[in-house]
Amino acid sequence: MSWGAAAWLMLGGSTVLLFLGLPVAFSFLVINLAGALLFLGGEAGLTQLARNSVVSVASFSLTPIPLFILMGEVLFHTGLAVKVIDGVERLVRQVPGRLAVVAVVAGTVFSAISGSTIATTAMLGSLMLPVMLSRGYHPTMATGPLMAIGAVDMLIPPSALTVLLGSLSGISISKLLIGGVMPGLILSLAFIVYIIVRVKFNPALAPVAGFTQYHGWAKLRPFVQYVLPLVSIFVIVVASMSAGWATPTESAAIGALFTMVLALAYQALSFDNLLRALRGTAAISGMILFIIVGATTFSQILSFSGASNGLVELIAGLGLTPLAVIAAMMLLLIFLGLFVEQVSMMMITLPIYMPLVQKYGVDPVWFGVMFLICMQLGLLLPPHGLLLMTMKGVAPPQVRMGHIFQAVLPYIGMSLLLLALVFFVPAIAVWLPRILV
Amino acid sequence: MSIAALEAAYGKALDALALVACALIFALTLMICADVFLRNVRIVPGTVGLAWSNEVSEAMLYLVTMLTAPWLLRRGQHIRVDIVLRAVPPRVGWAFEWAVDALGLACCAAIAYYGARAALASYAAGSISIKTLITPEWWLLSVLPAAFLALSLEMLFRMRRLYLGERAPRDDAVSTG
Amino acid sequence: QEVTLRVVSAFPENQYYVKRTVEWIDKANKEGKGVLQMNFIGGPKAIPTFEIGNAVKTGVVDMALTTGAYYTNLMPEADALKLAEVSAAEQRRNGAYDLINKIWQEKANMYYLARVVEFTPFHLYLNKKIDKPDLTGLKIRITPVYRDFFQSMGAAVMTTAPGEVYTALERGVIDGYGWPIHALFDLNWQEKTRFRVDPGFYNAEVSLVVNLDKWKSLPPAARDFLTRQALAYEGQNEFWKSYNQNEARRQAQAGIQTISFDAETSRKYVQQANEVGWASIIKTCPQYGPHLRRLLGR
Ligand code: NA
Ligand code: NA
Repeated sequence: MSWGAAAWLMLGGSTVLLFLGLPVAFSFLVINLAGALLFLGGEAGLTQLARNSVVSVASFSLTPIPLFILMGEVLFHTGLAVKVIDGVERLVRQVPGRLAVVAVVAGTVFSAISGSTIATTAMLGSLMLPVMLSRGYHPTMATGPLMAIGAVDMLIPPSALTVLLGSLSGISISKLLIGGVMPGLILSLAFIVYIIVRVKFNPALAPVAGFTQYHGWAKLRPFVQYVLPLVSIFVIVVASMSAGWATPTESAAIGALFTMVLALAYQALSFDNLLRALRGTAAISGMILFIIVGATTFSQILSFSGASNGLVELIAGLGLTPLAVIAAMMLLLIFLGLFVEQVSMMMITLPIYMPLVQKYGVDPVWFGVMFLICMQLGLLLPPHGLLLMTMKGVAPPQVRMGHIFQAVLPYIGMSLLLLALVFFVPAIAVWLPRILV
Repeated sequence: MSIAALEAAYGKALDALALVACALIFALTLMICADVFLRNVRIVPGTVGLAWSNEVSEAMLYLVTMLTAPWLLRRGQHIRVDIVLRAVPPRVGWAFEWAVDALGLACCAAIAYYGARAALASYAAGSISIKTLITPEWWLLSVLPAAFLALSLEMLFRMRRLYLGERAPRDDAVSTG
Repeated sequence: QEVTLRVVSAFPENQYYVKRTVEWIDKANKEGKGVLQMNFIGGPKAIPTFEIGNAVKTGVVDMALTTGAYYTNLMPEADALKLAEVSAAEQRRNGAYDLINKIWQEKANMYYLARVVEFTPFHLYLNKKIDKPDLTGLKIRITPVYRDFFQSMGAAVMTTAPGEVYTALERGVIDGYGWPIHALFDLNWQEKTRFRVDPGFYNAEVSLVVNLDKWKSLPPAARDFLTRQALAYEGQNEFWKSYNQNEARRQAQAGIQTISFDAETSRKYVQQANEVGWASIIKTCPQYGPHLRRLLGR
C-alpha cells in the first residue's frame, strides 16, 4: 500500500469514526486494529499491537498527569478553593466590574496551584457565577471572564496537558511549563484591562455593588492565612527541583502530597472529600491515559506505514519558508480545536509536526508554547470547547448557550492576539525558560 | 437474576475497580515522595531511595488506565465528538449510536483476544522483565485482555441501555480538561 | 527474484549508529538491485525500543538494529554481549559466534547477523570527585546495563528518563551516570558533567538481528549477499577505536577531567565490573551463561 493510501486510511478513517460519535479512544483503537492487520502484518501484528498498547502508558514521564490533577481536585473538594477567592476578594479595591476582576485574579492564583482546568473552571463557575448574577451582572459579563481564566490554567504550571505535550513531543517538560508562565500572565492582565474598560463604557453590564471594605489586618488576614500558604505549594514544587532533591517528574508527587498535608493542617481534609478528590482524579486521568493508549499506538502505526514520513516530505517539498509552515500548522490546530479536544489535537498532529519542527530547526520551546496557546483556545472555541459546556452545566437556566458563545468571543480574540504576539516575538515564550531552566 | 440486576451488580464491580485505581493513585503519590525523601535524607541506614519506585510507578499508571476504562464507559465519560449526532434527526443519531457501539464491541473483543494471545505467548516462552525487580512479563500483559473483556461486557450493557432508552443520541462527555 | 526486508532501529534516527547503518543500507541497496533490498522504516517512533526484540521474534519486522539490553525479556543471555572481551572477528573464529547464533535462534527466533559497534567501553561520569572506586553516598542514574556494577560499589541508583538527565545533573538530583565513551555530545550532557572515571569497562554492543523464519526463507543469493554486506560492515569496526579517541579528546576540550586510579585499583575495578556482570548473567541463565563466558571472556 502506498503511503498516501495509508495516510487516507489512518487519518481519514479515524476522523470519520470520530464524527460518527465513537469515543475518541475507541476511534483510535479501531483504526489501530485495521492498521496493525495491514501494515504490521496479520496476527503477529495484532499481537504486537496489544503489547505496544501496554507499553504506551507504562511510562514514568506520564506520572505528573494524575498527580497535577490530584492537586486541583483536593483544593476543590476540601473547600480550600473558596478561601482563595475570599482572600483575593478582600484585596481588590473598587474598580468597574470588580467581581469579574476578582474572578480573574483568583483564577490566576488558582492556576498556579491546580494542574487541572476542569477543577479550576468548576470551582470558579460554581462559586463566583451565582454571586455575580445575583448582583445584576449581565450573563455575558459574568460567564466570559470565568471561562477565559479557566483556560489560562492550562498555560500556567502546574498543568497536566503541558506535561502530556512535553512527553509526546519530546520537548523539555520543565521548559514548556516555565514557558507558559509569561503568556498566561499576559492573558490574565489583558482580561483585567478589557473588563475594566468594557464596564467603564457600558456600566450596565456590571452594576456597582456595595461591598464590605475591610481595613488593616481584617483585609489581609484571609490572604495571609490561606492564599500565601497555598501558593507555597507552587514554591515547594519549584524549590524541590532547584535544590536538587527531585526531578521535575518527581516534584509533581511532592506538590500533590504537600497539598494534602496543607488541607490536613487546615482541618479541611476528611476521608470523604479525599476519596471524592481521588475519584475525580481517577476519572480525568483515566480518560486521558486511555486516549493515550489508542493514540500512541496510532502514531506508531502511522509511522510504520510510511505515511508520517511521506507527509513530512510532501510538506517539506513545497518549498515554503519555516515561518509559513509554522503558521499553517497553528491554523490547522485552531481549526481542529473547533471539533476535537486537546489530547486528540496533540495525538493527531504531533507525529507530523515534530519531524517538521526538527527539519526546519525551529526552537521547540517556542513552538510548544504556541501549541499550548492553540490548545487553550480549543477550550474556548464554540461549539465544542470544554469550558463552554462546563459553564452551561453550572450556570442557572437564565444563562443561555447564546450568552455563553457571545461572552467568550472577546477572550478568543485576545488569545488569538497573544498567539500572533508570541509568533512575532518569540522571547515571550522562550526568555523565561532560558534563564530559569 | 434478571438482566437489570446483573447490570447493576456489574456496575458495582466496576465501581470497586475504580476504587482500586483511587488507592493506586494515592499510593503512587506516597511512593514517589518516599523515594525522594529516602534518597536525600539518610534516615534508614543502608536504604538510599527506593530503586524500584520508577518501574512500580509505571506499572501503577498502566493499572490505573486499565482499571478505570470500563468504569468510565459505564459513566459515559470516554469523551467523544457529538457534533454530527446532534445535527442529524434524533432517530438517525440513534442509528449512529448502534453503529459505533457495534464497532466498539468488535474492537474491544478483538483487543481482548489478541491481548490474551500476547500474554499467553509470553507465559509459554517464560519471558521475564528484568529491571530492578525481576517479574514474569505476563503479569502486566494479562491485565490488558482482562480490561478489554470487561469493556466488551460493558459495551453489551451499553447497547441494552440504548435499546431501552429514548430513540435519540446519548448524552456522553464531549471534552477533556 | 528481489526480496525486500523491513528494517527498524531501537535508537532514534538522529543517533550516529542509525545514520551509519542507513548509509550502509543505501550502499547495499545500490549493489543489491534484483537480489535484496532493505527498507528502513524508522526508529522507536515506529516500534517502541523495548518491543523491537519481540517484533523481530514474531516477524512483525524482518531485521533490527538493536542492543542486547533491550531484549533481555526474551532471553537474559542477550545482555552478555556487552561483556565480550574478544573482538567480533575473534568470536567468529573461536566458536562464540556459533554459540550466540544457536542461543539466539533457539530462544528468540532470531538470526544473529553481525555486530556493528564494539571497541567502545562504558564509563562512569561524575560531578563529584572520588579517589577510589567507592560510590557510597552518591546518587547515580542507571540503565539495566550498569545497575549491578554501580550498586556493588555502594551507589544509590535511580532510573531517570533520558530527557530528565540534563536537568537532574544540573540541579544535583544525580551525581553521575554511566554511558559509553561516545554519544555524550548528542545529548549535551557534557555541559553538566565534570569528571569521567577511567578506565572504562564492558564493551558497548549494537548488532543486526534478523527474524529466523525470514532468514531461512531467503533465496540463497539474497542470503549470501546479506552475509557479505554484513561481514563487510562488521569488518569496519576498527573505526570505533579512532572515533572513540576523538570523542575522548572532545570531552577533554569540553572541560571533562579524568579521574584515574593506580594500575592495581584499575585492574580490580574492571575485574569487579566483569565479575558482577557475569554473576548476574549466570544467575539468570545457568544453561548457557558459563559457556558464553568461556568463549567471550579472556
Ligand atoms: Na495550572
Ligand atoms: Na491545567
